Amino acid sequence: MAEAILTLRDIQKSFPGVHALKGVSLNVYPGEVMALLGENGAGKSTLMKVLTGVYQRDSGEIVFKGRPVAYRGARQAQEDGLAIIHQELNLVPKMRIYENIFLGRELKGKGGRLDKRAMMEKTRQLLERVRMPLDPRAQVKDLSIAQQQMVEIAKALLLNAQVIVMDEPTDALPDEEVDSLFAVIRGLRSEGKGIVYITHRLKEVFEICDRATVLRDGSFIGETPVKELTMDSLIGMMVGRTLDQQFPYQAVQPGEEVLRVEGLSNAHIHDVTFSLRRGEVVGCAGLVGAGRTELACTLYGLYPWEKGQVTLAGKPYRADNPSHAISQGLYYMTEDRKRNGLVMLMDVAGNITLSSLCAISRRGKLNKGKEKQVVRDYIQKMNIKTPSMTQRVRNLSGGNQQKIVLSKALMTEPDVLILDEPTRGIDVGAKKEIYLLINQLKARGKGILMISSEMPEILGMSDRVLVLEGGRLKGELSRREATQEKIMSLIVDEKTEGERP
Amino acid sequence: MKKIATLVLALVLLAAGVGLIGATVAASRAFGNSLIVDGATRQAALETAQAALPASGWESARLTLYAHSYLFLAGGLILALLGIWLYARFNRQSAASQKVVKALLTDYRPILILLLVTAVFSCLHARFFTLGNFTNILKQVSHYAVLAAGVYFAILLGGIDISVGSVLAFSGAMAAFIIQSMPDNPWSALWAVLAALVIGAASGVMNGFFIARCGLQPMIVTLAAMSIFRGATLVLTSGAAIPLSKKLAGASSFIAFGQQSVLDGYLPVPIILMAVVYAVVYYFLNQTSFGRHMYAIGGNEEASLLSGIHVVRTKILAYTASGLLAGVAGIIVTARVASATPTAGEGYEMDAIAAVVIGGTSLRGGEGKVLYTLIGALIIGMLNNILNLTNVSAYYQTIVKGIVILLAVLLDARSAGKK
Repeated sequence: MAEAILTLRDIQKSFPGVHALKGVSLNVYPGEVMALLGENGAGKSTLMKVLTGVYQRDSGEIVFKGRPVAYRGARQAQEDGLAIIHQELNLVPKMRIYENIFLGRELKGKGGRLDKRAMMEKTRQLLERVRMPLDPRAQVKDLSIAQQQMVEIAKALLLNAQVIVMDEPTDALPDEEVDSLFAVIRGLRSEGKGIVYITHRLKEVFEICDRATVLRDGSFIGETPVKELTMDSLIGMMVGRTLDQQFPYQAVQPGEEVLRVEGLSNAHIHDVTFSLRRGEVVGCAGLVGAGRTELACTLYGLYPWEKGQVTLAGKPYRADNPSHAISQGLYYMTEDRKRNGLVMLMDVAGNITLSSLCAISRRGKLNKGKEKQVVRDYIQKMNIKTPSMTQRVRNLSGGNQQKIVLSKALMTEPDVLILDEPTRGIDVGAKKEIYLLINQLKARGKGILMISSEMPEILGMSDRVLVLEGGRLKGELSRREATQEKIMSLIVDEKTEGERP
Repeated sequence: MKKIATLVLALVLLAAGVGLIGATVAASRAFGNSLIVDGATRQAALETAQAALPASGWESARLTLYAHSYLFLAGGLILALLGIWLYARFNRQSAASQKVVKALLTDYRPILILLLVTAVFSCLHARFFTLGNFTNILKQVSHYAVLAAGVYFAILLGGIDISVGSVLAFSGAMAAFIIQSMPDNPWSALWAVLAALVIGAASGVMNGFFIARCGLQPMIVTLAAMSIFRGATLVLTSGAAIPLSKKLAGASSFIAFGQQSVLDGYLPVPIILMAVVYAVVYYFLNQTSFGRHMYAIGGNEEASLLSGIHVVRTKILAYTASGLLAGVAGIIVTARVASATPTAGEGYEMDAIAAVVIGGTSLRGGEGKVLYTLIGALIIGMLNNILNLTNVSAYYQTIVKGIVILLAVLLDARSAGKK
């Protein structure tokens, strides 16, 4: 085994309320592809941000090419030969390929004039190395995603990068272009580059990677040669715990049907039919972009409907906007509370009552005494840890913020609650509290549709599981029959079926 | 040792400051006068004090305190503040004192600045700290404080409204036009007021429609409106002033909005209008769900929409309020000068925005207090006033105002960076 060219040892990193990395290590060897694996929120992205110095580590060391380093940003890391290719590519769309590649390090001729010819020539050579013979003068916005990725890789090669990190590079690629990406990766590997390959597509690990490092909940689980791994053992490493401990599932005798969706279609979803009963949690599984959030947004009145009928609590339901949906008894909790779940500048009380101000006001005048009383009630009931109800929510931890969003939703007294990634970005302890709250809601007869990308969460908390892919409902599994493999096979089978002519 | 010395010094300063203020107040009381005296009384008292100097030390000291009350008050205030600041520095570890200092520097900063400005300006000119001058400042400030209250709505949403100056001009011109074209009808004043308000509100609805419904940039939409209403004013006035001569039946009652005073001439009507506007705006922003929705949309528009708030409706209402208040300001300005000029209100939008910014409202939206906007307007008014009193050329006044705005924004950016 060759000496590692890049070593991260025992990295610790905490954010307010979240211990994101708990002693994580990663080794990258020249001429090998190292897979970095873990569920969403396991700490992969945080680790890479610590590596490039976007986040400052609390402790631990990083050794690159035999000396300890502490970068202060991606650019400095890049200059040192450590390139990161992000999911969102870092190119200027309206500039030419060679201009992008030489951005900030333009070749200059006499008198500071740009030496375009030399830059184009060099770009041509680099593009040949990544097997993508494009015209260096082409504009980046006219390239496909795969081609843009190659431009990024070419940029890394220009700087003579020794280690290239690829963050879920195949996510946005069609299948036939994945193969050409793999060919380039193999080429780089044979040149002796060290590659970190971050992915959640486990199949690719066996195809292209030499070793795998697995993270779980910010902890380092292990580094194993891929040869010694099977799909099952890999999933075991990633998921780790037994579901019962993590998920306090409680069976509730489901009541009457509270939501019935029949043939709902629009630009984002196609012919979705399902039902939801009181006291039931229905999980909604699928890959990113499968149309789960779009389904929720459609029901919430954010996207127009083309076809389909919905019945809510026995009455025909149709929503033109969120306010309309809320008044009929449906509430949607968004997946990104910072972006569109909370008003960070407002205090705890203001956020909790935001959706139901009419309940605490008369002819538009707020009853502040009543507001205080209601808010105090929710802070206690939801166990929200805040110094006071006038604390701005941005100063609270993710778990407490999520409880505030949940309080806001519950104050509207919905019959149906749609939770989108209800535990994203919060601590394990806070997660469990959210699950217990979900149980309480079940017991109170709410119908809950839970969208989640964390397979164990879906399996652990749902009474039934809906599987979506490409905006279509691909199947429905009962709690007993649902397994990770069955869900994945529903997604994948349908995918291959769809590709048939 | 050093710590104790600092603490003692801080307490001495604080005591001296408070003592000085107390003594000045007491001295003024002793002379049967309220604290704020006019320049002439003050001058007379000063002369008496100098004459009495050799006679009785005690008497002359009291007279001196009284005569220079503005100076001693200001000095006392500065000493007291210095004492508090030193104490807080000394007591750095104490959470409570840190909290007090932080609150002073962030939450109550506009009030602190107003006090400091008052203190410093009082030292600069004897006539500054007098009741007559304060009334004067308030009167001068009234129209653009009203404008600023309107612009505050737009800025609270994270937008801007630069059309208010032109809307002011057009609504004022329309009011004057109506009074002029109904020379015999005493009710024309009422129609003029209503027309000004309707024009203001309508301009706001127009702005709000394009901004909220069509999703256009507030800066561009209101820039267009600024041009449109300035042009409309020029068309209506044919480029010349419309005078409100006393011969017109409605003129005198209309002019009352700008020139009349009540309470023996102590309280001008524009100040009352300004106070009413701020009371109403304060009520709407702090006591109603409409106000809560405004803060929410300014803080996070997407989250507000998803929380079931009618974002478009609320935004249109906010711009309507801004336009309506521009109409009110148009009435005040036209009535005060008893004439509608085609260039009325030019550049007022900048003063209004400056007042909002100096009042500590974030241009990013979602944060701010409307009463601080009033304080911001007062600070600008005081600045103009002291520059006039000290005979600084009007040309320099504009430069000074620019520098003050820059400082205000700098403070805002620094406190935002600290969070």
